[in-house]
Amino acid sequence: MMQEVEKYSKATRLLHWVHAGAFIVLFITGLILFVPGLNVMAHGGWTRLIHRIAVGFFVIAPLIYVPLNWRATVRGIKDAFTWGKADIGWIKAFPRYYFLCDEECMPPQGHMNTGQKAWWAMVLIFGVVFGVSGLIMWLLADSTPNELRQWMVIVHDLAFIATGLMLFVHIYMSVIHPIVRPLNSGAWSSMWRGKVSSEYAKSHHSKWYAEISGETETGKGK
Amino acid sequence: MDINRRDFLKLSLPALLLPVAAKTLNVTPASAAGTKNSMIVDEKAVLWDATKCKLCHMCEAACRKKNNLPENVNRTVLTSANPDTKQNIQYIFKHQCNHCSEATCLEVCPVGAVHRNEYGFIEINQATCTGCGYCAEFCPFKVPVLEGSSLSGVRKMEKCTGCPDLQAQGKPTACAGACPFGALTVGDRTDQLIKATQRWVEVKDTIPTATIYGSTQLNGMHLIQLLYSSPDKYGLPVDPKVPVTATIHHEILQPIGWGLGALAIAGLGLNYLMARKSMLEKKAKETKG
Repeated sequence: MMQEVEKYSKATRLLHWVHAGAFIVLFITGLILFVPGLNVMAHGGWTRLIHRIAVGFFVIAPLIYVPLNWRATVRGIKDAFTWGKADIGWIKAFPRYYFLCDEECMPPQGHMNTGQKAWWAMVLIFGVVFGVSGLIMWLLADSTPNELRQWMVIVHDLAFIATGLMLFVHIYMSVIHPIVRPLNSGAWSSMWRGKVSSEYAKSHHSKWYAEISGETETGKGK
Repeated sequence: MDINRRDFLKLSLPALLLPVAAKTLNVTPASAAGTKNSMIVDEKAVLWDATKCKLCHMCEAACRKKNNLPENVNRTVLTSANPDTKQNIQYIFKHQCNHCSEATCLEVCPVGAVHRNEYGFIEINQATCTGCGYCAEFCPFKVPVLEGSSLSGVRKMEKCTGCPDLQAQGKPTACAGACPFGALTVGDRTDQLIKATQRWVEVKDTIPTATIYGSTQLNGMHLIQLLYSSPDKYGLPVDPKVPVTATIHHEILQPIGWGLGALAIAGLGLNYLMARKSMLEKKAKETKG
């Protein structure tokens, strides 16, 4: 029986999966309208209806999570916007680490490594950007000038490109990259079962592991 | 960084084929825009002459009848910029699709529901239209109307189509066919421009501010109007342009998004090959040592 530690609570995982599911539906129904070759699938308007139904889940899930998990929310938002010297270490090490799998060169990471933090900050920022631009285009359409809604299309486009690209990276980094294996004790497991093996925690998030276990940092990292 | 030739080719070849695929699938801006006039075989134009119009509004009624529209839905309206002057012909213009040669609606429609027919007029494929409203948002004249529900998003775009079925039979458009005063005529576009100019010469002594609108705007419009005054008096743009946002969206962001997405996937694929190789080499070293 390998030793495990809990990385993500049930509430966090539920939010993640509902929000991720909604985002994927939004992404695909948006992509169909954005890439000319795919738009044959949008004929008639049903993809727009699906897009709006998914918006419901996308917006309501966090609105339910936040009041029920206030402390975690505050901590999470603080984490997303706390950047410092440690992050420079990750930036310097990431080509060697992710391309050559040289685990010795990566400085100790916290609960979220720098890359995860960047994605998390993007989710927060662009979530709001999508929401506001979408709101103006949809529910406020009759009370806003055409020019404003034209620019909201542009804003929505930019958010779509940025988050779409990071979505590919996120999925890749969670389940495909060799360094996040094995799946039943690594990155996938952290969000699916909530737990990771102690070994994975020690080697990938040693600063966090040291905090929760009281152990001093071992082996990996400087 | 050690990557052998075979792995490199495996990745770069598909990347090189992407531009070829793009051209074939018609996803490049120029081919997708379709604003080029290569479709036009028999270029026509509708001419509305304000100096002959008696504001009987029969054109509006005929249009509604032909298109099975309810009383409160109009694809063409004789109206003024100011509600106080709606009865005075001097302030009236024909508010409807101008069938621009450089059509913004055609460029921004995400599903290609907007297209130009052989007479130069802009049509909407009602079955394809998703009701997204981009055409209405980006039109320099704010013409397209969306009928349906804003909440559910289930709606269709409505606008003048130039009655292509009537034009195909050599008949005038519904509005022109109904006008008892000859204020509305349909004909070959060049002939209509000559006719408008001749009429302008006739009236310019009694109506010195008379202006022809639609001759050159947006590369020439297929609705030509002989107005009592300059267009700005009617709230019409003197020199309308395709909005810069339409160009940004269609010619810049769409291709960039498509391109970056493909690059990202190629990049991740490359990373996977390299990372896997590195891991295997590491494992081999560990088992050996």
